[in-house]
Amino acid sequence: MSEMTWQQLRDLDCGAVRALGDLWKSHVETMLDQTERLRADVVEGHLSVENFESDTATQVREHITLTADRYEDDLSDYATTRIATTLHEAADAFEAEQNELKELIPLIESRDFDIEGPHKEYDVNLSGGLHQAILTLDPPQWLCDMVGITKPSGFWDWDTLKALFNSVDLYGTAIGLAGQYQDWLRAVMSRAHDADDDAAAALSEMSDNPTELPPHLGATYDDLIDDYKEGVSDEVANEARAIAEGTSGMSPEQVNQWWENLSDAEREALLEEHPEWVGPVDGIPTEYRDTANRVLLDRNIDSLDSQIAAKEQALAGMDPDSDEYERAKEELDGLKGDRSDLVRLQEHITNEDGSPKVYGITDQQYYLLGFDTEGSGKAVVSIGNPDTADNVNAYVPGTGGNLAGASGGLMDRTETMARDADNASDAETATVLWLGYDAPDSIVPEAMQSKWAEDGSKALERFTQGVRATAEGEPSNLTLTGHSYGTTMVGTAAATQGVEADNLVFIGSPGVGVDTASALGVDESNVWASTNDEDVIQYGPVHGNAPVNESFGGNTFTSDSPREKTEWWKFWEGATENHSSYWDDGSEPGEANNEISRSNQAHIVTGQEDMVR
Amino acid sequence: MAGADVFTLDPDEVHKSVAVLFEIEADVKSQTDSMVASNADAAAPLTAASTALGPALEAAGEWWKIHRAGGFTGLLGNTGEYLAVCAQEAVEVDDFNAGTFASVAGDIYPDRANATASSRPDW
Repeated sequence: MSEMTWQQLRDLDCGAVRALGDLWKSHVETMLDQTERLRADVVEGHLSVENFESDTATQVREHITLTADRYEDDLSDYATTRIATTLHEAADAFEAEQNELKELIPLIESRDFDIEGPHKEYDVNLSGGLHQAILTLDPPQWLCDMVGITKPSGFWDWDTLKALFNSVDLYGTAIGLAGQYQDWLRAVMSRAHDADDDAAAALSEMSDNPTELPPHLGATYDDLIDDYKEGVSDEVANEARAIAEGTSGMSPEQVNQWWENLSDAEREALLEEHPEWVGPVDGIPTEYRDTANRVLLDRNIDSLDSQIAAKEQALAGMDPDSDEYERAKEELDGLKGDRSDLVRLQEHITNEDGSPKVYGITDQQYYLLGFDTEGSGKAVVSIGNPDTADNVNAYVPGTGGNLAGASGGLMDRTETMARDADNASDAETATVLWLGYDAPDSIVPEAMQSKWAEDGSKALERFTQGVRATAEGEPSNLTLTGHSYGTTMVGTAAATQGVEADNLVFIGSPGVGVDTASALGVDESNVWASTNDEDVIQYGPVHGNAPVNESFGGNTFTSDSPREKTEWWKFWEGATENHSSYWDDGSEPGEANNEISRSNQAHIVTGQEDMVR
Repeated sequence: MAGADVFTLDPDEVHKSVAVLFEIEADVKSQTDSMVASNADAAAPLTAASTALGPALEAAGEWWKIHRAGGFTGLLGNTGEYLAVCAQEAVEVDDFNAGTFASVAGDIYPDRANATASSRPDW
């Protein structure tokens, strides 16, 4: 468990960590020269058939080849993918947070704040000196500037009286700023600890279930060699299962390296025999995941059909007035609901002949990156291939987001975003519906709680890492667009785990879990927010400072509030309706159009921020 | 060799292959020792900085040295010893044990640490 303090993080030599990763990589190259020598000088050289021929000779040559193969696999799987990559990823992550500290700590010190408390939950408080300065009506210049008063000269004059009258403001401003720095510091340390723990897990779990080595030549060789070969043939499946079940400790980048090192036959075998270990895994290329998930979707529907038939049969034999019947009926309805959601999703992304459907307006294929019927359901669907796109925009929905929405309203918005991005730029944008977390079902109490965002943070972090890992060529310009509680999801993931995004967009936000854009680990100039003037959300920032506030420190863009109440006396309708109006495109008769919001979003997503209004 | 329809064995060439095996074994051992020492050196300040990575890195280096690189060199040594015996007196794989090598090593490979043969699991 990471126990680093901020001072220890600040002083880490990340260059040394990275250099060690490089050293491991060059060690691997040296070792590969040795296995090459083994093959060339021994198996095909001094020990070739011309010099040594018999059944035993064949067996020994095979044994040496197995030994070389094993070591080469070890060098790839352990020394390179695990150790060297872990070191490089840790060095990058630590360095990013060190850079944050380089900016933050001088600010804290210059304001005369103190950092207190344990390293997991630092507090940033006013120092005794700062307290005294405010109490003695001698506040520092920076605080006077923030409050908008002239710094008193030390005599009882008008400026001193102003300081006295504004002492509550002075305190409030100082405490508010300290709170923002505290959020920032905690976020930096949270991400650093997360990266540290992830790195340690990747190394520790490496040795959990390694493939056995070939047996030594000797009395037990014949008995053991078949077991060894069987172990090797199961090796890929065992690794794939550990990765899919989350017990491998591997990052998406490491998963990607592992996948790239498999042979075509091994990949095909996994797809054929275990699509469940391929489809949901961040780090495996999109095309393979889509293929696997479509198979899983078919299987899930078939399985639900069987369960429904069995449940209906069971119901037929029950007393309709019994509690048991009621329970079974409820379960049956749940199964039918799940089936209906999955079938609609399938129909939305699949042609009648079974081939993947294309979203006609942008001419981009739908890719299924994951789905789940547990809870309110999950779905990750992309319009366009994120691996090859210039821009990737992942839309993270909020309260009420569920599996049904993946072929309904949530997908409508995703398609609107895809179309807007396509219209805004010639570059290709993949637009992803990322409902990879269990979204709250209700505003009260569920959306008031941060646990949904906390629980989903690791998954969103890994999704962004996966997009980076599977990118072909230059990394894409990656945007996370949260709506409503989805902004809390994005902000929480960014502050606590870290996300590998270029831009964060918060729309109709109730707060993002931190009070300052600086805490998000993304350049503040790439943090955007918009809440239209009628949106009800502005009255309930329950998850911290609203990101549209100037004090939050990000950018804002304009969104209209185009929806009208249906009756003059339904005063609440404008407020609630306009919370959901950001993607209105006027495509249906009588439908509102939020052109300015959509166009602003499209410009951010396609890297044309200068056109944002 | 019993059971073999065809049998060719050029003792000089087989001994040369043994020499290569022992050489690779020694090279890999020494390069791994050096790599893992560098690894431990780099892990120390990480451990001192209370990271989780530091101890995990040091343990990973040791695991690599003992179980993977060490396993590889162990296999090379064992195979070399087997081939050395083969070149001297034809044996089957299943008939081989470290003691057999010990009986011929003194003459042919006097520098090899035969004294430790009895500590091997197949002794």
